Amino acid sequence: MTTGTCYAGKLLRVDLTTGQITAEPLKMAWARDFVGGKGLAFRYLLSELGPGVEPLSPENVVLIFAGALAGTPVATTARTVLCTRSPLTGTILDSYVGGGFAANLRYAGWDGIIITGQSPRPVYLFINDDQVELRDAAPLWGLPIWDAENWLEEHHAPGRLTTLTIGPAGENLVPFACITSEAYRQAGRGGMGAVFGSKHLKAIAVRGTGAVRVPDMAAFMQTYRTILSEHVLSDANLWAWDTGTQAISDGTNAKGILPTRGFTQGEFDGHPGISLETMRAARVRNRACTACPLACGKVTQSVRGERMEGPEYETIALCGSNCGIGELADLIAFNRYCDNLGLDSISAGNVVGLAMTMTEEGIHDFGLHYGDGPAYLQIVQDIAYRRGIGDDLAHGARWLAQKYGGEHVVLEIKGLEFPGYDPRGGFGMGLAYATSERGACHLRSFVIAVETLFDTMHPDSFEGKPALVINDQNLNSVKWSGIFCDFWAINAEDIATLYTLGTGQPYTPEEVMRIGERIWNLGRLFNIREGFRRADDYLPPAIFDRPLRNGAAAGITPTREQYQAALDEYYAIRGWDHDGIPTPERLHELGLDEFIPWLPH
Amino acid sequence: MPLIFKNKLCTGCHLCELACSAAHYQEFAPTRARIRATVHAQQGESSVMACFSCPQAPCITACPQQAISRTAPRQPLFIDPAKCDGCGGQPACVPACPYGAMYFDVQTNYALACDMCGGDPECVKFCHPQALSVGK
Repeated sequence: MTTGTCYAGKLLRVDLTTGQITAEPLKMAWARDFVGGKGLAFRYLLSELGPGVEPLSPENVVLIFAGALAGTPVATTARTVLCTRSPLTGTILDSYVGGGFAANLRYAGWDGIIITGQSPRPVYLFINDDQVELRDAAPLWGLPIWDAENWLEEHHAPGRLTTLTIGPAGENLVPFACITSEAYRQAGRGGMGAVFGSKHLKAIAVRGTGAVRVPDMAAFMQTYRTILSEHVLSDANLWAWDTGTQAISDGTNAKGILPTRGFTQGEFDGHPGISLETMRAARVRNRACTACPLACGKVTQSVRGERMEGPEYETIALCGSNCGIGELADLIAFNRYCDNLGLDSISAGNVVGLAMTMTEEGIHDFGLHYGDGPAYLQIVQDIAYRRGIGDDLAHGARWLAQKYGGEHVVLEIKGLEFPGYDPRGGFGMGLAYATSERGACHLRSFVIAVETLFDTMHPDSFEGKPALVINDQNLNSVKWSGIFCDFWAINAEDIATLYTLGTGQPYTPEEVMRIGERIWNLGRLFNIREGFRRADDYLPPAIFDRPLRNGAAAGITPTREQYQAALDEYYAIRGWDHDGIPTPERLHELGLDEFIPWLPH
Repeated sequence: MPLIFKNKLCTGCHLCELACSAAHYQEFAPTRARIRATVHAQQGESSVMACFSCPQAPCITACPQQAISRTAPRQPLFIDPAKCDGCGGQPACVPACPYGAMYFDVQTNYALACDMCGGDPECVKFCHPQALSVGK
């Protein structure tokens, strides 16, 4: 029997402008109401960041939080959330990375990090338990990520260091630059890497030698062992162990929703080259994040001898079929450039695919064509280093489409490029993308699973989808506060049980869902404050006007009227007004009264 | 009865470390674990190691306090906490181990060797990839 709680109870505050580093207590009342991870990061961001701040200015803030259960053996909970205002979308941004960073942050004695300001010169933050320093990053600035990771490990704690690092793309302020941890894991979406770059922050390295404790170890382990055997190592999740995400393209290709050739097709004729069978044949072994028995990471080696952990489904879809690439060796090479130079592969694959479509359709000649491997492997480097037309592509798909007349073909929402599930073959997924706070994201609601992969709802209808999308968004908001991974299909009961055992505070499943809704409304409040309204919850014109040319969903599109009706229903269930603004009544019900003055009059 | 490692199956999840420290110290502390996973992320490699009571056991003779003993070859080591003084923070047993399987708890200045949890190791129960098993 031990006493206490899984929280470390401390946050690290780092002012890069002055170099001042201070410790402050975690606000335990907020921890009670927002748990950890996404919830706490959102709650702190709304207090830390004033309105109208330019994302790449020194005034922007980066919050890095462990989930409530980080450092414990509860499956998947070593994930880390990074939160800021996105340079790609201008929205609130929460981006997640696996690996072991958050666990080590907890072992070092911290629940989170608040980063403000801008360093006058390149630095990295070294957290060695309670000794925390900003160090000169001159030897690292300009280095690709893997070289920087090696340098940090050699100079600090070989084998016991975990890092978050940006590459040249982040340094060069590419608005879809990512953060990499453990070589192949990314906080990918929304441009967190560019925010680090704007702050001249190359990396954060943490070494933790302490412990995470729970109130009653015997009860914790006994309960968790049962959940582990019955609800983690179960059929609902073991696909992650068996195939990881590499199996998904087989399903999406069959259902006609695999982004192909710039989202003009839903089925890829080159799919055998990037199918599960091909991936399996090239597989070396499994790799896991810290504390995860599912080990979804598949170490894969190409015929050219290039090895990586991955590629994952989103990269297979956006950087493979979406660019007309059916050669695994090319895909692995492209993926490695993204990971090492620091680009979000979803956005990178989108923008390259878009440039190919605009070239092929005579909209603008970027000299890029579907399936042209050598040009594809060159342009990804040119994006990261902002060379030639790579500099144009480095602005993201929305900017590229606006500049060169491709608005009718581009697939993005709020500036965030589409993930790998075409909503023309699953209308509910379109609603999920459009209502996601950070732009087109598949991780808020994965309604596409019941629409296509499991065949339990009609794909070409919005009927019943708004309520389903909302339930997913609420559940996932509180789930990302654990931080549980998408790949554990955990329910509210297990979340409540584990939060109770970990934090020492009682949670019920009903309260867990209410916390999820509360967190979702915080994200909305941030975006409302920054001027986002109903018109920003759009589906791009191509979804209505350009049916897919092949595959199971060919020829099908929603109408604008159908979509607007679904959005009305979504807002009504949420308790938001016609313009998508939360009502004071709903905020009061959620215990968010202090934000009622934020509502526009 | 020592632990057997199949390192091709190790995924680097570190759950063995957490199970070990929870069983011995009622806290999750990888740096107090008697088993350690090593990860080389870029190469996609990982491996696990703990004391398996090797035939020579050079740690026993290296210890200046005669704190390390075992009842018979291949039986788990016993490190007497009353005798182990951590060699003032530079434990002689750690570099003496040819397998890198002797660890050191800086919090208590005590050398850490796998004790097999009395024959039913916690780490094995948490190793879903089955990189760990108990030998005959």
